[in-house]
Amino acid sequence: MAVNAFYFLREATTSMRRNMALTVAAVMVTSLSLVLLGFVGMVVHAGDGLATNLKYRVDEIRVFLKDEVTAEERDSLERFIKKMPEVKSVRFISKEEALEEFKEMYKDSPDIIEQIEGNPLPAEFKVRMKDPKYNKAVAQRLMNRPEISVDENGKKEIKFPEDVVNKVLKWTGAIQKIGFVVVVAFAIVAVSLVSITIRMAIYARRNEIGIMKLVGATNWFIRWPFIVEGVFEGITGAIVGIIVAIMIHSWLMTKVEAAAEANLISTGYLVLLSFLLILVGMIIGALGSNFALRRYIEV
Amino acid sequence: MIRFRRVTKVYHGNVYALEDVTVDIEKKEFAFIVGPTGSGKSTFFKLILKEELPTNGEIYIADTNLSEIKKWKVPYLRRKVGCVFQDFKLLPNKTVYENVGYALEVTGRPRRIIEAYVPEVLRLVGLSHKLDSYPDELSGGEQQRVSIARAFVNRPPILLADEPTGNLDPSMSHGIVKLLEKINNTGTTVLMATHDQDIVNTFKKRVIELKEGRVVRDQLRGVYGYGS
Repeated sequence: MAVNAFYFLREATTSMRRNMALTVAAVMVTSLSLVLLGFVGMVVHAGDGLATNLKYRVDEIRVFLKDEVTAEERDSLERFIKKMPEVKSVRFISKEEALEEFKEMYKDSPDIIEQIEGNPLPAEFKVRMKDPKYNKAVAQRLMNRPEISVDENGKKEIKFPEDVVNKVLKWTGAIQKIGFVVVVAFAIVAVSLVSITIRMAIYARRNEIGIMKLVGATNWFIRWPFIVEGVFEGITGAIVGIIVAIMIHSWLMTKVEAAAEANLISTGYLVLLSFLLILVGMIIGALGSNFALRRYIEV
Repeated sequence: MIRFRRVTKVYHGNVYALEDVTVDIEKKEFAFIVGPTGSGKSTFFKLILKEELPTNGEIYIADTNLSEIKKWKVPYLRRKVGCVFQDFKLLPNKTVYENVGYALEVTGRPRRIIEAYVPEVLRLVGLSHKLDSYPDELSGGEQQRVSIARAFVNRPPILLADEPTGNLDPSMSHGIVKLLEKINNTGTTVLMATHDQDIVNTFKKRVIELKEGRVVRDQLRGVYGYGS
């Protein structure tokens, strides 16, 4: 068997050299589909990570106040909120504190700060719940308080942190769905390209295949070099794909991570993803050669 | 060694390639299959190799019913039946040695077997001095010897030769049939399809004549035809 393995490898590499351009095309499309797969995987994983990282703020709703609210009205609202059994704590942030926070957040972009005239930011209560599940009920009870500001649609400005989480999850979900379709489409193209290279390889060796059958080579013996060739193309595509995916990761994701102040994609996940890409690459290669063999080597 | 029992082969529902053929070819026998083109000689060989299946009847090779050989075992049947063709079917990018060794290589034989068997069989066919030549550097007769060496290197009990002298001039043809006779003398059953009258008449072997798919004559030590 060791002799055979060497034979299959030699036959496969000879054949790939013979159809260099096609082989390169097959490898490139395979790696392209795998880069996309890797990208989608990373975005989805990062989205999950981001959502989890935000969870610690999930038990907090923000209640924005009208500018014209007096100190008494404000205290009355605060007492009203604090009386609720679901509420753990309430923190008041005045218009001035809100502006300070804003300036702090955008200290790197002075042009944004310059554009601010006066203080457009509202004062707010940060209401911490004993459990995030009370968010809605507490907000509901605040709906008819006149102190709370109203947006242009007439809705009370009470912000749920889940909105952010949900938005992130919605986006990653959309990327996941669209990405999946695109990845599958590219994978199909990759499989057919591998299949074409194998078909060319079979065509180039049709005389040898005829003689192999004639002298009693088993079907698997005839097939193996082509399967090795297909799988090799798939794995090469996967390796190229992994390199590109890691480059994208370090270039793009580090920025997202810096913004999110969290390590969203661990090395462990990257290793796992690499294994997945190699596996998918092998499957693409094996499928491609299988299609070609089924159609062009009749037994 | 080869038994056909009332074998009929019909192509496309109505083309009768062989009709009700019953033939027994014994171990170590040498037989010519004669008949014009389209008389069913090639079909006869294809059925032995299980390249085609009979429409009716039974075929036994070495007491095994071919219909009982599973598809994946067909390659093992073919190792027992060496094949030689009119057009040699050699690989042009391989040397004489490699062409013959190829038959052993692709049936998974170890290198030491290849190194032992190939020179020996090439000595048998008289090409010991051309090991490293390529097929296009050889004459037609020499190429056919290489193809016989390849068919015989596995030591198959049966050797089929389909018009092996069809592309050769008469002087070379005799040499090829003499070589087949030599192989026959080692105990191999040899079946040769031909329409070379001169050869058939010279070698005086068993003659099985096919005409429109039927055996019209089966004669020991025969000649090509009654008329000649």
